[in-house]
Amino acid sequence: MKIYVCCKQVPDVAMTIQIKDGKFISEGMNYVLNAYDASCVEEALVLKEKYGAEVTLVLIGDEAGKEALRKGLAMGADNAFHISDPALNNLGSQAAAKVLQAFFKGRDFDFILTGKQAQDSDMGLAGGILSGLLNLPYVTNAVGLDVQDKMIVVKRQGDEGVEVLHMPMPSLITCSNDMNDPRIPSLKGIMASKKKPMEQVSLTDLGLSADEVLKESQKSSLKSFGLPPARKAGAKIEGDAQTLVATLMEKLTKEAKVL
Amino acid sequence: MNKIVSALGKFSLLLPGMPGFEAFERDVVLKLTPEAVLRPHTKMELLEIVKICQKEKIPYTATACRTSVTGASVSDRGILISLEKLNRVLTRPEPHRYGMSVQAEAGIMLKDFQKAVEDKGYFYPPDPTSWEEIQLGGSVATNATGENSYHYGSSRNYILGLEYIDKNGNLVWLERNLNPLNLPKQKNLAGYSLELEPLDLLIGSEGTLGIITEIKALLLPKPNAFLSLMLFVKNETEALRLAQRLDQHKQSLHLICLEYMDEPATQFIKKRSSRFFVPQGCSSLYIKTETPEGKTVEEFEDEFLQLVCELYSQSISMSPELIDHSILAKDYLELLEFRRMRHHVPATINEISVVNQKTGGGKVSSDWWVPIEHLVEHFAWMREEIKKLNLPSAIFGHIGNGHPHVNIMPKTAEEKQASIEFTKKCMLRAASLGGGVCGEHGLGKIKTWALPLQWDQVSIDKMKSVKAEWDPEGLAAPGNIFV
Repeated sequence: MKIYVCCKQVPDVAMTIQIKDGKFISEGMNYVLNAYDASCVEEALVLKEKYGAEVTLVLIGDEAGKEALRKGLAMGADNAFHISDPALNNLGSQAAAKVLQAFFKGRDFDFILTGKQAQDSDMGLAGGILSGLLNLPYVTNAVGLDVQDKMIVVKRQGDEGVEVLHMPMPSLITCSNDMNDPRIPSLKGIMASKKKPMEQVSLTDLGLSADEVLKESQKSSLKSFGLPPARKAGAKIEGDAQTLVATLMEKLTKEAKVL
Repeated sequence: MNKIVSALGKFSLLLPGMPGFEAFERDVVLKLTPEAVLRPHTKMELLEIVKICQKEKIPYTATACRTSVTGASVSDRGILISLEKLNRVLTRPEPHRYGMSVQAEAGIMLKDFQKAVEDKGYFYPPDPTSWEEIQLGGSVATNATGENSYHYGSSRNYILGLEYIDKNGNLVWLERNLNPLNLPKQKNLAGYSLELEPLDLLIGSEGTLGIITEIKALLLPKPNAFLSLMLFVKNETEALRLAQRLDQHKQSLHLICLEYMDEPATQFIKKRSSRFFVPQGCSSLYIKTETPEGKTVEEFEDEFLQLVCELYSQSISMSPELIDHSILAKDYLELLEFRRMRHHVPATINEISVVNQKTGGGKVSSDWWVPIEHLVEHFAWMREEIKKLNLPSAIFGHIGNGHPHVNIMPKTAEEKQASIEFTKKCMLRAASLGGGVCGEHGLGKIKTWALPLQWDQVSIDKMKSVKAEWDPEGLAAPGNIFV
């Protein structure tokens, strides 16, 4: 099997996010592999260990992207493609999907995995747009994967429960980070990752021009960043159990009106 | 009780039997019922409470989150005063002659304090194992250390000033003159630090000299990226020798933490994380390094891993497959996972202890330390003693400081007594090797007998005269440190 995982590097969201004049301050931030993509890598590696597969990573990004790819390689992926070009900075979802479409043109694969969204923008668009451009069957929000009789068995978290879908190969699947706990790379994996192939790909290699990418990028634009408003202070209820329950019921029925 | 109600009844008293009272009766090892618990909303209210206690001769003990493993934060004499509502950061980071400083109330949770200074681009290094569930004041009153103390030292090294309530019910500010970073970064010795400045008496005094109300802390610039590595080793002696070799390369590896978990402790972490494989029959070392100035993480990682692998391979020549399982954490969440995993070990032991307490046992833990060159020999001697005891044990801790936490888990009162005798022997031997009987937990109420294992009578008399001078009525945290 040939599995591709589309990855993105994102600011380490556990760090303090700083925004000034509507702009995100990237200085001092660590960039890490998007957690949803890390779950894709983990699931691909589980399938590789179970059935045998080649796991290939692909990422669009600047130098910081290389570290995210190294992380995936250290986890156990076999090789990686790093698509890098000055014209690819701050890509919108549409443009990213267009670049990936060019990358996958003429390539053989059984399925493509990608995070259902990226932790930085949380848009969750690129996977769906890419499936459309590649004309691939597509399923979102996967929480489990297996392979049976040359079909991909996808468990996806739907609104009313877990649905099980049998997808043909090739397909594109976007994955939830609820799917697994990605492994922490071993020392051996990290040492090995430094020798694994990471091919640099430019826009020219993909047969695209900067203008074409710019045109796609302009289909959507990011106006500004802002922090969510501070949460209002909660109300503290005190007293014995009877008072607590009575007060809480009163508030839930009359104030919040949720009961 | 009537005396307390009549003297302090105007405050909101939490009395036995009231909802929420039970939480104040127990730390990790002791259950003691105070006559009342008070939770002042302001410093002035706290001051008034302490003044009344002093006037009416009511014993008072400051309590934080009761994670103490010595009974220091619980009491059955007089009242407990919780500082949980005095939890504000009071200043912005400000220039100080020794760096940057910030002032905060003692009841702030340490993790909230650290997050607040981190958000401003600074770093407050003390990081006790239970950093997520303790207060800043409690950490100073016990001179808390933690895994990073291997490089950064203890809480004392970051305290520039303290405010406390003295024997006359006055707020007194004590400012440090010397640069705390220049103080020795060794682990604690039991009792008071007599040779340093007045505020050093309060740091580590376990509440016995008065209640600390405010703290001025020294901040460091936010450190560069960390890397954490967990190495599995088949044999304890090999693991300890590896720790010694790593310690010899502390500077070039930029190590800030060097921790050990013996085989039972390592197996405890197996249950904690599904993100890596814990091999059977192994002890482990957990190390952390900080990327030095002027180098990228990648550049430093290459050098660091090369040297670590060189040292590590000497320890696993009989089981080279262990390199497949040794793991490296780089991003924040992985580092946090490592830290929580490490914290999971004492948490598991504490859970076992609570079960054992029902049959008269519990856990007997010690935190003696020895100079690192004596580690292998002291461990060999101790293992023979544990064999004689024939009781379950788990050892983990700050091996880079020669400071393991040895936990014996007795099920009966008899077994507990035998474990205490064993612990006394370990402490005495540690002190005779130039170490300490109690590196970070303090003596609290259950280890007051350990003071003479560390100090001669002249030193103990000096400490007692300090106590008599600062708290002549013996009202502050009675039962802690001294019998």
